Amino acid sequence: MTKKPPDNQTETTESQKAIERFQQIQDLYNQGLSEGKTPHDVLFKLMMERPDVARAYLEAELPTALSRRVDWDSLQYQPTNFSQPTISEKRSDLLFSLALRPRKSKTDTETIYVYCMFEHQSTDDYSMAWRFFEYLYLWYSHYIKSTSDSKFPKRLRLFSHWYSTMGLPLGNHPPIFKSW
Amino acid sequence: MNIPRDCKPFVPLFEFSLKDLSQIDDPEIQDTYHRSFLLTKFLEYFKYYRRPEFYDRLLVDTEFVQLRDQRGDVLYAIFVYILQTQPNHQKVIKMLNNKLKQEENMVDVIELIKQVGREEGREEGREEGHQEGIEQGIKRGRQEGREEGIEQGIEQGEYQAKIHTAWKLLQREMDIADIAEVTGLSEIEISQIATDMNDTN
Repeated sequence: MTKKPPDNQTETTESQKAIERFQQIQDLYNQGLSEGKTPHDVLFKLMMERPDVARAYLEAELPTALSRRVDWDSLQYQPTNFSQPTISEKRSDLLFSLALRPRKSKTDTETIYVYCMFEHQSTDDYSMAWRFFEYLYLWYSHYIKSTSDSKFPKRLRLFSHWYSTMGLPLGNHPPIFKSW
Repeated sequence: MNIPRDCKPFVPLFEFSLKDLSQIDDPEIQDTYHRSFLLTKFLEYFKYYRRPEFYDRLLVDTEFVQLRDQRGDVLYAIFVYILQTQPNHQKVIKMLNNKLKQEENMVDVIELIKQVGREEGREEGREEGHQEGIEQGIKRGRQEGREEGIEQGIEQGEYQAKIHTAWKLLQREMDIADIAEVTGLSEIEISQIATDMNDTN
């Protein structure tokens, strides 16, 4: 039979673990801030790096018909540091790849990519639409160079939660989004 | 977009979705992201963190304690987020910590913040003290002197650690009496540190 440690020793160990975990979280924030990120960016990444949270987010954002075909065990985080955009700014972004199950009576499998960007805007920013295209272009260039697959990915879905404390109407922003 | 059928396999399909979180009603956020409690909560924090009602919303938030996971990571991440983003973080953290205290087996986050500050200060002090001790020892060229030097260094380091901790806690606007209790320094010493800090700023 294993001897149980005294209660005060268990408490000390638990307390030490809590201190270490808190310190680790604080270090993640400090590292992010030293890299020019904001506390929101750090929290966003911390949360979204949990597969259960990422899945809940993607299930909500993808069209239902598509979401039903997703093999959720295939969810993978892809690197996003492919290049530096010309318009520099602080951002949180994540790129996921997901495998789709074949449609009924078909055998074709498919991989889709979902690019999520979460910005914390407190002022009006008219370059936002351009930035989306820039990231898309950079990722796509990176993808073509790095893949030996001759088939292009059939879908790239770009999502953005744009947070504005000013409550700016989207209509003021990129007319380009209306045309899609 | 009209794309000739034969060309379609070569043309990637891009789709966009743009959302302004500040324009989405709370019930809609909860409904849309209902699959993850954590997701709905942190979207809510992002939505309100800069608004005046942020504190009041947290005050009546009965679900906050449910954010405690096995390792405490989520709660700690939110507490550090509040420390970093809220000008009145002391008030917010005190209120949230009281919420946690009402539950069983919940961690005292304020105590944790103090402990982490202390540990940081000690670690830095130890390093500095150790280095200083080594330097003194080498100068004397004798093992005895070296050991003595290290001991002196550690002592100095511990004192420096206390000063460092007090400095950090002053930055977090903690009361001088509380800091004295935590660090073991006298209130006069802490007042002197506060004066030095103001002069530096």
